[in-house]
Amino acid sequence: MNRTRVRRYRGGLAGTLLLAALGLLYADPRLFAAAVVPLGYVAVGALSSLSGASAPTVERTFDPSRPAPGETVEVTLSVRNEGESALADLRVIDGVPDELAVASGSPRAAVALRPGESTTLSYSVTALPGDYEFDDPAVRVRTVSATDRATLTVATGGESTLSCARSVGPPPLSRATPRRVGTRRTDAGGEGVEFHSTREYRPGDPLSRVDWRRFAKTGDLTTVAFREERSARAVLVVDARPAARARPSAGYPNGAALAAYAAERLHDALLGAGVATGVTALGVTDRDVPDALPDEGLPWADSDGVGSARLVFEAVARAADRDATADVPVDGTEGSFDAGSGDPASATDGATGATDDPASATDATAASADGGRSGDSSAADDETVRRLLTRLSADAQVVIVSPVLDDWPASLARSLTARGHDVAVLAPDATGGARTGSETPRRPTGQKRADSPGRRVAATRRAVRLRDLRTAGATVVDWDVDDPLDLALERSLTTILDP
Amino acid sequence: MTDTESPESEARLADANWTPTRASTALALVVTAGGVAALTAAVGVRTGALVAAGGAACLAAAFRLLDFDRWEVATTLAASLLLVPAGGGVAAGIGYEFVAAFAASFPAASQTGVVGQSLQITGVLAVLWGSTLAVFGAVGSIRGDLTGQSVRRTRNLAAGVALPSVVAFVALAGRALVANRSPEVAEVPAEIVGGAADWLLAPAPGRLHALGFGVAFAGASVAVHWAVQTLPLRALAGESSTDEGAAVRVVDALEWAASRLLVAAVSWLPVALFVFVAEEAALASEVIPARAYGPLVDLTSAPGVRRSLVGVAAVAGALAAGAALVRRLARVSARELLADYAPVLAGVGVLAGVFAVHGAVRRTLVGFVAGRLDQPLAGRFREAADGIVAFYGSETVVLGLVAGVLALTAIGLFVLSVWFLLGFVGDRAAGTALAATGLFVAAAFAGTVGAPLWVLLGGLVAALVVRDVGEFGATLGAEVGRRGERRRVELLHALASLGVGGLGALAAGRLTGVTATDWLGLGSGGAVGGVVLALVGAVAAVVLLVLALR
Repeated sequence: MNRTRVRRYRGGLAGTLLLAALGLLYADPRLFAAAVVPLGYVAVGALSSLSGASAPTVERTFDPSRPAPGETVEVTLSVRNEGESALADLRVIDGVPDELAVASGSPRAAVALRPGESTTLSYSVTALPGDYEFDDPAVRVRTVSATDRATLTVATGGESTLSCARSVGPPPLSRATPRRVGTRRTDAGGEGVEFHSTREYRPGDPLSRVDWRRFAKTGDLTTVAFREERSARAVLVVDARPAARARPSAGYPNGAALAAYAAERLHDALLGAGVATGVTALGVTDRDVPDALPDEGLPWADSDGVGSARLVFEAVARAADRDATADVPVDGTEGSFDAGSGDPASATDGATGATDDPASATDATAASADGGRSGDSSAADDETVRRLLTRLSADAQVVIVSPVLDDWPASLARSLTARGHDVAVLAPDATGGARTGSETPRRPTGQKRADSPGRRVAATRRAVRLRDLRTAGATVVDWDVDDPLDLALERSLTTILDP
Repeated sequence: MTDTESPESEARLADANWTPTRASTALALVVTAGGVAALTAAVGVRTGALVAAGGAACLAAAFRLLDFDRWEVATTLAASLLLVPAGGGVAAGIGYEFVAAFAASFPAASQTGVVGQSLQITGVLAVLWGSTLAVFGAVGSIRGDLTGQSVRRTRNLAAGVALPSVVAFVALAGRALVANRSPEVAEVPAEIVGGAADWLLAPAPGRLHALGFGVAFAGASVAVHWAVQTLPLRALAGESSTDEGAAVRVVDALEWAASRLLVAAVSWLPVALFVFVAEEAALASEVIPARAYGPLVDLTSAPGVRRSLVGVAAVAGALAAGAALVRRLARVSARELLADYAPVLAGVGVLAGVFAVHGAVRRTLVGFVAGRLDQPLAGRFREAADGIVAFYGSETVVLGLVAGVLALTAIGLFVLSVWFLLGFVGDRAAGTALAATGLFVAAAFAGTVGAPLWVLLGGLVAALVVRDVGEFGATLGAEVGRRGERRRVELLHALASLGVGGLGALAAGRLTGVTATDWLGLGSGGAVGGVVLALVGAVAAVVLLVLALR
């Protein structure tokens, strides 16, 4: 504890001398007596003391205690005066981690507590993926005259670590479960259950599929074809490129972090539904993996056990955290994403995803998202995309998990559909949920999030790209971060399992 | 730790959050306004106080304008122009009450009454000055614009605005002095200039004019050397597309020649001085060989050579000055340049305004002052004023007043900057500190001019409450911020501060032995035992002082 006496009434002494001097000069006893007024302040300041005051107790709670990325967490501090003396001026400053930005309220307060009295202090922060340790709050106690003060750190009871969603909850299976687990219906005719078509009998066709009733009527031998059910196989492509690492404002997770979280949840949901699911990611470099990346430059986890999905998601999380100024481009280029090595090739200056300025952050989003049409043809020919396409099995459904902040996902979707793949896109909204002309979205706590013109522009461009994706033949699931992810996952599962 | 609100994390919001709390600032403002109103009403200087307060508010507004970065040129110009009504308002308010007090006090009934009346006037002016300072500090505390840096910046601004008026006044007053006191002296400058021109440009033929030639030669060499250094010759030679090597060699030769010429010219000057002395003593022709003497005489007395040298110096100097100005303009932005010179521009504008309206201003001022004085004094004042105007001229007199007001404003800001420098006033709660100081001084001196006891004690309590609450609010804003919960603590502290002041005032009242009616100034006060009680109070005060120091 650091105890200090503050000399606040030095001016009072000077005033006393002035009044005494004037009293002598003008021979006026009133002025002399008036010197008692400033002296009273000096005396109170000199005599007031904190002796007898004891440190308060503080308890902290989080609500919710295990939030999703981007979710608002209400932090409540309960401060109680356990001593027998009143605390006339008690100032509390909670130890919010530097990475977490305060969304509303203030972690600082000045309160006055009688003996045994308690008060609560509430503020909210925006959750980011990972574990964040809150420091013990700093407390400063003063006398009423503020001439004696003590500064100390108080150990908190309750919670001190805010854990956010690298761990995954149970997947939603209630409405998305297909009739047969682990299969999906196709448009091809063959073995199956559901009638598809009939054709002329060919030698070798199974007798169980011959339409005997027709033979009995007409004498013609025909074979019935049923709708084939194939084993469901999906590949998740997680977009962690620099262009995806923009965030709507400081303190919110960036698009790549949201994509990583959504992809991890979807992966577990698909595994739970019996779908053979592989995972790969773009934007990951050698720095993000324990060992070096494979030769093709893509981390890969097959559904048959080659590679580990957990390692891929961890690499994506590390890549998503790399959103410094030099890594996130604002000129519509790929910026630091190099198709070959995955290392930053040409770092371009610009507004960062980690900036505190929402205008520049959304400008980064808007500018980096404004890749224009010129990147389309180059993306299709991109070396990494070719490697990705080569690695995909012919019957795999591809789910692109991307915030769609540039035109690259649309060009990839076109390339995939051209090769006959079914494509779905799960797109977390990293533009802050801004809407053009419609009501401002509300947070779960009921607070409105302010939109900036830049954010609206970015949201408009994203909406255009989502439309382009649908035009390219992809099924798009747009996930507003304010809404529970489970809804988006259910729609994704329905799309994948029953296209 | 991060305290900024994530969706709107702007630097401006973050800065405003840590300024003094609104409740404390508002309380300090209200108490200051009430204290100033009561003190000035009690002393009878309300009119002057209102005018001076207006000037103080203009000064505080100038501080606010200087805080804007976005329209720096316009706000700097506006702030510079605001200094005129600021200084004028304060000077007019204090001047008005001074004239009124002087008129009421003089002529004195007796010689011994002069001291008393002078003290009376001093007390009134002190109340007025304290109230003005209190208003300035209170208005400046609203946005926390008063810091050491802002005071220094405004001081420099005031100096820039005052400069043209002061220079013009000195020149006009000097000319008037010379023209009226010694008319023949007024012709001396013209004679000097004419003689110097003849000496430099048209020397008398047949004599050796070594010094004049040396001066002209040195001037031309210095100017050429400066021009060669300042002009971008090397850059131009390097960018030449034809025979770059030759161009660079020419520039090298030019620089070499200019530097050698400068050395030669500077070396020649002492020799020229010696030759000049010898020529004056008619010894030069005997010392210098005849073969050299004749050509030297021709060279140094040829008007064409002199004019050429002076012409070269003028052209080279102008080129060098122009190049230096362009270099400076290239280094700084137009905006910075305009902002730097805005005060001088404002000063020139003020000067122009004075020359436009000096007549009306003078008549109004003289009429106002004469109207306040009693007849014998009024007549003498008018005579003196007319004489001064006739001697110096109307524009010079008004210009002198304006220059004086601006100079006093600059001096006042200089004194304020010294306060900051010496630590009497800190940056954190400077506004309320100044407001409290002004209120305290006003209250103290109000007691010397017969204000009721409640006004005296109330003013002192108000001053101390303003200081206490203002400093507390500034600390609270810095530690907790405006968004944190703090109302109860603020209220508690304010009530405690008022309580201590109230108790002190009651104790002071009892020490003087006043009754309830005496508080309103209706009684004669506790004269019996009052001195004794005051002495007892003094002893108690000393004891408390020792406690406080311990």
